[in-house]
Amino acid sequence: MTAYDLMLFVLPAGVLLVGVLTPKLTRPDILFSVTVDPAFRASTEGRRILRGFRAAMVVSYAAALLVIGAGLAAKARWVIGAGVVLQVVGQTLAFLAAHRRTLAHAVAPSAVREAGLAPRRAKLPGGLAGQAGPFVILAAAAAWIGARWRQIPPRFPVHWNLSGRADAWADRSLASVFGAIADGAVMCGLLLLLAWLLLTRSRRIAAAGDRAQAEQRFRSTTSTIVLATEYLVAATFALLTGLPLRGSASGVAAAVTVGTLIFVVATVVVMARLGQGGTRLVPANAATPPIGDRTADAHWRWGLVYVNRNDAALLVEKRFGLGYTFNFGNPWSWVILGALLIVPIAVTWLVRLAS
Amino acid sequence: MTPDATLRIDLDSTVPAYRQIADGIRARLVAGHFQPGDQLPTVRQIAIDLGVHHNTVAEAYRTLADEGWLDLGRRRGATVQERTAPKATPKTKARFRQRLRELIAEARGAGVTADVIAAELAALASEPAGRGGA
Repeated sequence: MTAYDLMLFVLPAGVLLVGVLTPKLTRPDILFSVTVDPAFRASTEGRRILRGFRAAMVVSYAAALLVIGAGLAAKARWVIGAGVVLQVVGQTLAFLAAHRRTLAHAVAPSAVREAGLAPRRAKLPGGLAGQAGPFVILAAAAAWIGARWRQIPPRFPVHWNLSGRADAWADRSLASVFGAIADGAVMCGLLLLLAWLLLTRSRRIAAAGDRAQAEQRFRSTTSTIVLATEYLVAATFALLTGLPLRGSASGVAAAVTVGTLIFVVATVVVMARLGQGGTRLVPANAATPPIGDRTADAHWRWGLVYVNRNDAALLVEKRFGLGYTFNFGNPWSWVILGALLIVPIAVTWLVRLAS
Repeated sequence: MTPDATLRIDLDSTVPAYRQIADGIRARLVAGHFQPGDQLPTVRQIAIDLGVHHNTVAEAYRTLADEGWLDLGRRRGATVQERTAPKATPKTKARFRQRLRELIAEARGAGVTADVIAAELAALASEPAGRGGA
């Protein structure tokens, strides 16, 4: 069994684990994206819904493993892909079924909203120096490869298949050599924008007290993780910049894969300890009615997509999962999401066109 | 400014959200929680936290600016202004008497006794007013 085969079994297990644990990490008065009494999840019906969800998750995981195993045995990539899709679809259906069952137990969240009256100043983690770091790494990589221009072969590999064999080449040019730097800079810039939006365009659920402090810790941790992602992206693209001189991607691919895995696991552990909105840091309050996340259930489509044109927030807390999601009722969400998806693809395409 | 100044509104209330916002901020201004020159949050910040439209908060800020409490700058947001309480006209007094009557009727209808209302009014009236309040 190759490392690649092993990953095909390990990653779905990680996805299953995160999926099964997620209901424990949401706000205590939100279960499967529905506002409920905080005591509901410990009730007979609440436990039954949770058991049903976990069982459906395990079944979809087992079915996916069988299909992936069959695909590996037959060396049929499309079957392996079908196994991965099967797990994603199965887990989504498990969530939707649990969401529908929980809706019958929904309670109206408190209509009271609160806001601090002190002006906020957005402070990005790490300050100017910390935020400049990823761009400095990319600039240093550009300077390093630029100083070795004559050592770069006239034609070098730029893409490798899963077996590690090169399957695409480029001629030495500014675009082919510095393209990875441009890609990395654009991605880091977009991540920086995302961190800034998180600090300035997302809702504070609690305005004062322990809950507000816990929420602030969750928010600053999230923006620190975004900054760490920028460093990971910058390091990855800096390593890619050196490939024309190395000729082989095997060492780089292994370093990037291991680094990314460690980063993802560490991120999940750190976020899970905090709970959504930092709620695991503060004991659950039996206050009635529950405050939830200060959004109405009616504005959540399938419990996953938030759409509210009358809400000024660009980002709101996810109801299922950790972190934030866009308010798709705000036109700027579409503009920013479009930029996050299109700009890196456009830059890659332009670089390829130029090389 | 007191660090725990928190504005609360009830979206289920029959009172429009912009009125609740203006009333809540005005109450703190009268109580002296803010001093002239203090900055209030931007319209966007309050709108995001309360989950209402920008225009709702902007309307509340305009109301307070018209009353002389705030100076609205385009970039720097709202600044608390030095304000002298105007002399109440008979028309103003009549308007507040009417509002008070309605509020007391609502309170008595909800079971609050006349004694409790009288004590609350006396306590509130004896609170020292901050700048801009009479």
